[in-house]
Amino acid sequence: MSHPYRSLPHSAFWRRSVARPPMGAVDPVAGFSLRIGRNTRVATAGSCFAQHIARYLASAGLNYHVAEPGHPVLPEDLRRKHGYGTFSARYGNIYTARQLRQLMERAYGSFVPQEPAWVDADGTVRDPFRPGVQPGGFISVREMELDRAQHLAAVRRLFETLDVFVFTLGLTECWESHADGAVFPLCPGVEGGAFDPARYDFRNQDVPEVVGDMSAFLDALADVNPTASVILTVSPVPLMATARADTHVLAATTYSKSVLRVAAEMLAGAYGHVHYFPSYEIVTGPHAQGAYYAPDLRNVTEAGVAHVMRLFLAHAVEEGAAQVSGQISGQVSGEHPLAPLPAAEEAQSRHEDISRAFVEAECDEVALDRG
Amino acid sequence: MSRILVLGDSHTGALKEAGPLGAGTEILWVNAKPGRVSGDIGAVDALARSAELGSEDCLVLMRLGTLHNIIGLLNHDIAFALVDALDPDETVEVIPEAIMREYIAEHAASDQFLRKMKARTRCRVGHIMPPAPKKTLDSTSRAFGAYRGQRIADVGFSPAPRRLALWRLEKLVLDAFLPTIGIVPIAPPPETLTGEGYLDPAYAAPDATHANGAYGARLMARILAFAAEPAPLLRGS
Repeated sequence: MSHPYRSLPHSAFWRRSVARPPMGAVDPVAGFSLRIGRNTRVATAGSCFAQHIARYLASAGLNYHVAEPGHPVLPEDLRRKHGYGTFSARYGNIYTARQLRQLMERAYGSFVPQEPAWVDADGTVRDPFRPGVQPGGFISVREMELDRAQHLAAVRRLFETLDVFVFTLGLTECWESHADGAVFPLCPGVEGGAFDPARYDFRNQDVPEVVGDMSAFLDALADVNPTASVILTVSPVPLMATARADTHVLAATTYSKSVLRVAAEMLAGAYGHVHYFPSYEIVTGPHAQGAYYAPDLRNVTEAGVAHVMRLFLAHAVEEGAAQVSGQISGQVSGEHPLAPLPAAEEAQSRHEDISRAFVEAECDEVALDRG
Repeated sequence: MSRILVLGDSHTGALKEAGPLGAGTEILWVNAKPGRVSGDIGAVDALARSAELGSEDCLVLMRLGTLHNIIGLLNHDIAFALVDALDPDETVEVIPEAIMREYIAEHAASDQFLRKMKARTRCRVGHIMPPAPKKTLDSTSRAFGAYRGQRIADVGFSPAPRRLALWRLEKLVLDAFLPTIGIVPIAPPPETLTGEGYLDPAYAAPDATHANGAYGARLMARILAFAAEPAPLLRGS
C-alpha cells in the first residue's frame, strides 16, 4: 500500500534517526541550504551558548568576524578577558529578541534609552545594557559613554560588513524600563543598578513579540546589508532562574525555549535568508539522555558543544573551508564521523571543567543565583 | 657605615650626573639583556651585589615604570587615549582605564628579576620609576633619533596629555604593587614637576624620556632620606 511516508528519508523516522544510531551519530540537520566559505565573514551574538559557537568558528579557521577587537596595544589575552572577541562586538550576552532589536536601533540612533549609567557603591560605572562587559567597571560616566559610542560604532560596522550573522536566542524573560521600554540583559540590582518596581517591569515575551522583534531586526539588517544571511539557533542552556514566582523554573524554561523554537521556525519560513540550525535539539534530544549537560544540569559539556559544531561544520560550511584540527578534527575524521572517539571521551571530564568554567565566567545570567 | 646601592636602567644616568657621590654610595646601570653593549653590570652580577648588602644597607632599584613610554611615547597607528587625557573634540579610541591598569599591573607582577633582587638581599629596598613626561617634545628635532626601533621623525610623539595620563596610571599601579612584594616606592621629587604634573624643563635631559643631573641631585636627596629613615611621606606619596 502506498502512502506519503514511504518516500520519506530516514531522517523523518524517529527509530531510524534518533533511537537507533549511537548518540554521537544523531544528526537532526535537514535541508540546511546555507554554505559558509573560507572567506565568509561570520559574526555571532546571543546568549551564553553563542560563545561556544564563536570559539569553534575561530578555531576552525573560518573568517570569524570581529568588529570590536580592542586596541592592539593591549595583549590579546587581556583583551579577551575584558570581553573583546567573545562575540563579534563587545555587547556581552544578548539574551532576548527585544535586546537585539534595540541594539540595532541604538546603534543607528533611532532609539536612545533614558536609563542613566549605573554607578556602583565604589564609584565605578556600568553600562546598563552591558553591565558585566567591563571587569573593574568604568572610571566615570564619561568613560562609559565614550566606550559605548565606540561600541555602537563597531556594531554598525559589524552589521554593515558581515556576511552571515549567527544569533542564538536564549530567553524570553527580561526586565524593561517603565519609561521607554528599554530592556536589560540582567534585572537591575543583580549586577549593578538598583531595583525599583516603579521604574522597571518584568516582561515575558510570547511568540508574536519575539517574531515581531526579530522581524524588525531582520528588516533593519537588510536595510544596511542586503546580502547578509542569518542563522538562528536556540540555546539549550536552561534558565538560571525565573522571575515568575508562581512558576517552576523547569516549566518556565520549557515555555521560554518553546516560544523561541517556534519563533525561529516561523522566521526561517518567512525569510529566505534566515536559516534555523538545531543546536537545541542536538543537546536536549532524548538520544543524548541528558549526557550533554554538566552535573549542574545547565551547562553544556564540551562533548555536547563538539557534537553541535561538528554538525555545523559538516552542514553549514563548504567542504574544505574549515581547518579541521585539534578537538574538532579528532571527531570529524574518525571511522564513524559523528561518533565521539575514545580520546574525546577520555578528555570529556577535563573538557567539562573547561566548558563549565568558560560559560560561568562569561554568562551574566549566573549572577541571578549567586550565594 | 651603611651602604646605598642603586641598581637600575638608563635612568641611573641622571643620578650619575648629579655630582660626587657620598661615601658608600654606588650607582650601577644593570643591563640584563644577553650580549649587552651598554650598562655597567649584567643580571648575575647585580644579583650578587644585592646579596652582599647587609641589613643596615639600602638597595634602590630603578627597573619598573617604563611601560607608559613603551606603549605611549610615540603615536600609534590607531591613536588611543585614556579618558582623562582626551579633549572634548577628540575622536581617538578610548581604552578603558580598568584594562590599561590591569595591563600595567600584570606587566609589573611578571617581573621576576625584581623579585629575585628583593629575595637575595637582607636590606630595605626602594624603587624609583622614570621621571614624569616632558610636555614639549619636538618630533622634528634632530636630538631624537629612534625609540624602540621606530624613527621618531616618522611617527611623532603622542600628545603630552596622553603621555602624562599613562605615566600617572603606571605610578598609581606601581605604588600599589611594590609594597606587596616588600619594596617601598620612592616618589619622584615633587619640586621637579610643573603645576600640570609634567617634568619641569629645568630637570629634563636633551632626549625624549630622561632627566638630567639636576633631577638626579633632587632624586639623590630622596634616596638619602629613604636610606636614613623611610619616612611615610616618601612611601609613594
